[in-house]
Amino acid sequence: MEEPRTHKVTDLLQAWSSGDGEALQKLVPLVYRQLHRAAQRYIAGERSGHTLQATALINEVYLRLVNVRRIDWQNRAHFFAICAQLMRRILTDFARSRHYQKRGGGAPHMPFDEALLVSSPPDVDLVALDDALKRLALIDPRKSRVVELRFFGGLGVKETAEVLKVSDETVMRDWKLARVWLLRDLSEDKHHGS
Amino acid sequence: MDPERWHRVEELYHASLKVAADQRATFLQDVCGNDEELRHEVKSLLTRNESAEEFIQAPAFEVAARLMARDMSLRSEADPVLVGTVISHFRVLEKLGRGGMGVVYRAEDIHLDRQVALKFVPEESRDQQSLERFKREARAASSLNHPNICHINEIDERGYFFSMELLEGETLQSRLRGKPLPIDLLLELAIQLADALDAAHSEGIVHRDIKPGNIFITRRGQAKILDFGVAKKTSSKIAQSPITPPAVSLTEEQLTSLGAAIGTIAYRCRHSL
Repeated sequence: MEEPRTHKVTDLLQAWSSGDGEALQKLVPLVYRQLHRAAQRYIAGERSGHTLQATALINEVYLRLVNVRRIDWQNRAHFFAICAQLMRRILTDFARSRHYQKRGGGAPHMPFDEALLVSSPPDVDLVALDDALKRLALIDPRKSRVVELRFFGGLGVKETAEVLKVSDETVMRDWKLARVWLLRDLSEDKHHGS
Repeated sequence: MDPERWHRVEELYHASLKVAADQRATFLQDVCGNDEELRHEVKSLLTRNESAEEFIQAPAFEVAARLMARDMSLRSEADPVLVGTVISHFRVLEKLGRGGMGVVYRAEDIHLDRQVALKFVPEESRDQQSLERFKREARAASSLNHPNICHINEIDERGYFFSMELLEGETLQSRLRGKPLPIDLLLELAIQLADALDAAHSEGIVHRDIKPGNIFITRRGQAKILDFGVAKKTSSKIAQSPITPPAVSLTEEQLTSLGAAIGTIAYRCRHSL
């Protein structure tokens, strides 16, 4: 399958960031294709006992989505910010759709309870984290963005600092406090009554 | 929380981190004074420092890729994600094969430090009816204790899998490969199988799918009957009425639904065709 031209993807990202909903519909399959590719490699890695390098993975995704080097320096920060938002939206929706699949359709749909597979540590619930991040944004928008850029966008400290126009040290302090705050928020039951 | 208050919490949080861990409580007491709420707020954040170390370190993309990998492998026949994982007290080692009623893995029973075979319900047959059949197979076979019937150790309480003895050898089907067996081996196996079937029948259990693919021959030449997936408990014990064939009685619980063909055509007895 032919990959779409990178300049077209950049246009789509631009369109989406200025509120064009249709652009998202075109971007979702691109991200899914990368996700699928990563999942296949993950399975192959499990089989051979090698785990993937997370950062290498996300960088590859961006390289495949857009030719980062072709984007000029000024637009780079903007591009990273949009990518992080896009990832947050698509990955959270993906996790949410799995929730529905599991809950819908009645009993023996998903027999291998994930708690059953105890050898790998439990992953964070993306949907719950997305909600918690919205609550954090009410108190401290910048910390919420640090998490969005680093966790959803896969950006390093330097790139995050570049997007937010703050120092590296500020990013690290924000990242540290945001994580304990989120962890505490997620462990409190009050939000998860339903 | 108002921004000024939050700013103060943030400031104290970072200041506390610079103080030695065993002196943090005193430090907070001093700086917070009578403001119990503030002290509590900062403290509850500090207590999570350690558990936050690993938290969201792997990017969301990787988390999602892992979720997708899990979905994919549950869907696929290979189930590679199962291999290497620990389920209940079993460590799954490798996939051995796939039968009509399930996928079989070699696994290690961690409690008893021995190898066993685990049979899982395959993904495509996880409807209520198949799960019932699967559980029934486990129950039927586990009620039988005979050296020539594959022994069931235990059944997962959720009914997703059961553990049975691990057999080394091959099925009669793969042994035959279209060629006849030597007569002495044939007789030896036939005697063992007849004895096993007799034991099952006297417990009121009819296998209903006896065929070379369901007969295992261990390396030591012992025959083992496998796959009680379509077995059926008859209402009366057959041993008491040897003349009547174990005909399909409709009075029993009809887990094997009416009209559904049971067994393997080539090996079914005439009266059930």
